[in-house]
Amino acid sequence: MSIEVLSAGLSTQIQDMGRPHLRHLGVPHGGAADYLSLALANYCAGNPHNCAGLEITLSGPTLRFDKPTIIALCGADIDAKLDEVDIEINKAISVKAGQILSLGRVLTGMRSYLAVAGGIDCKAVLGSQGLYETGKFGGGFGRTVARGDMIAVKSFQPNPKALPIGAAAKISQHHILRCIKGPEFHHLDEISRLTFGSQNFQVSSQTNRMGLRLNGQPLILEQTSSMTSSPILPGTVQCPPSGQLIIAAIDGHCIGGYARIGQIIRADRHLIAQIGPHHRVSFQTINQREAQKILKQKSIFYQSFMPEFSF
Amino acid sequence: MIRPLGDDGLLYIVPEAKRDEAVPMIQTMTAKLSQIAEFENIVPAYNSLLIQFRPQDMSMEQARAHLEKALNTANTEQEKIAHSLEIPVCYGGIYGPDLDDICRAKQLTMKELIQIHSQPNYTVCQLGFLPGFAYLSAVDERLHIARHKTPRLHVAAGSVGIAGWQTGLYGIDSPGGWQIIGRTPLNLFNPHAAKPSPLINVTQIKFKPISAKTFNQITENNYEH
Repeated sequence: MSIEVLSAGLSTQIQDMGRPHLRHLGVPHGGAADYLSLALANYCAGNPHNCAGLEITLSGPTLRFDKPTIIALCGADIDAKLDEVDIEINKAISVKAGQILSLGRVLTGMRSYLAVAGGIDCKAVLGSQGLYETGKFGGGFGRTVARGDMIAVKSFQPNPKALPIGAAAKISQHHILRCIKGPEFHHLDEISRLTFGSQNFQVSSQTNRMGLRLNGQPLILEQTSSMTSSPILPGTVQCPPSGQLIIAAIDGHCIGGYARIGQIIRADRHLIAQIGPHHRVSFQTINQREAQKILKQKSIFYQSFMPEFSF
Repeated sequence: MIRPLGDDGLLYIVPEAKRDEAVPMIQTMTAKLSQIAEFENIVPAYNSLLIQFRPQDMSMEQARAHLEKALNTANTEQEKIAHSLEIPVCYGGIYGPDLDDICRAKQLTMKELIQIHSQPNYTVCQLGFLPGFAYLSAVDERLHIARHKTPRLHVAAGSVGIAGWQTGLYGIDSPGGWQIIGRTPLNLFNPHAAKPSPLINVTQIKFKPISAKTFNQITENNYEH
């Protein structure tokens, strides 16, 4: 089965669960930035949670399916029509041969995920089918999809499912990110340590898969001498000399030279993908035990219907 | 000094007082950690090391115990785990667009610069800024030169550069501000190869000056494979 790309959308790309174990080589985690939503879309479409699908950012593609199939969209709510008829997200949708899916603008959040029964079929590079744009590899084409591309899809046995209640993301324009104080949190002056946990930051328009820049009252570092570069993770909240925070995202560098003042907990990192330009962000600092509890609770819930899935 | 990075990461940071021995220390710990337990990532840097673990499989306390074990071993064993790699480099010309300017600024002949740069064994301190981007131990004082104020939009993969006291290798094509003095025909990062980088597990590098003709020969051989 093939999907023909009639129009590409803003930054549509093939993504799966990424390359989580290659940071020592400078290869970022990658994969679907909101991998939970991709897993949920796969679940509805009857796929294993980790099949490759399409990550859609802010404005989506128009696609034609040449054979009957089942699709599902999860993540940000998005304007979606199948042959001019509105369709809902968070559920399995039957598609007939030749039908056209038109995806318009995202309505909340930032990224939607399209899963197709069988999963997208393209060569894996370094263990993943996902695109690493900076390295120009993966994602089938080594780039985001373009008009005229034909995306191959594997064959499937129909097995669509309904999402359990409470599974679908509730996304708003204000994101509260739970984090643990970073190794250089104490480099902040006293007032800034309070500001970090109490301020509403505004997301700048400079936001992509590598990182998000926040605007707000600048935080002040007591120690301004430059830090020797040290490893970071997706979700590391960094404070450069300017005092305007940067959140490292799923394709961010593996090593950074700015003070690490916070680290978003593992269970909340998928939320970073739904933070869009001009949204608001605030940080809630928690301790290790609370983080453990949250991870356990979220894992138990999602593994109850997707046993192979993990954060 | 051990500090958490979130709920699934643990950092070892070499204390100020021990900074001179940081690199061999980190390298030994890195080797030991992969023998001690299963981690999602073990990422060495100049004077710190990150381990990332799955909280579902390992507690923070267990991770800390593994890290402390590796640290104690590295302190007592003083083992020299040296894996050397020779890297052919064609200096200057089209491969080293900044070499002439550096020679002029430092009042060296091209031959002298090449000799100074290629003489020592460099330690591989970290690969991690971008795929295959290798940061090496300090370059000779006579070659210290600040990076460009405005980075080049395009630096070719394999380029050898200097920025301040640092020297390093660009693994993939990327923008960059380093002063470029030469290029290696070796493919430093190939995501399609069984071994994506020849620098994996390499601790020491020696640069070997080659001619443009040899550069082309090696490049042709790369294509044949």
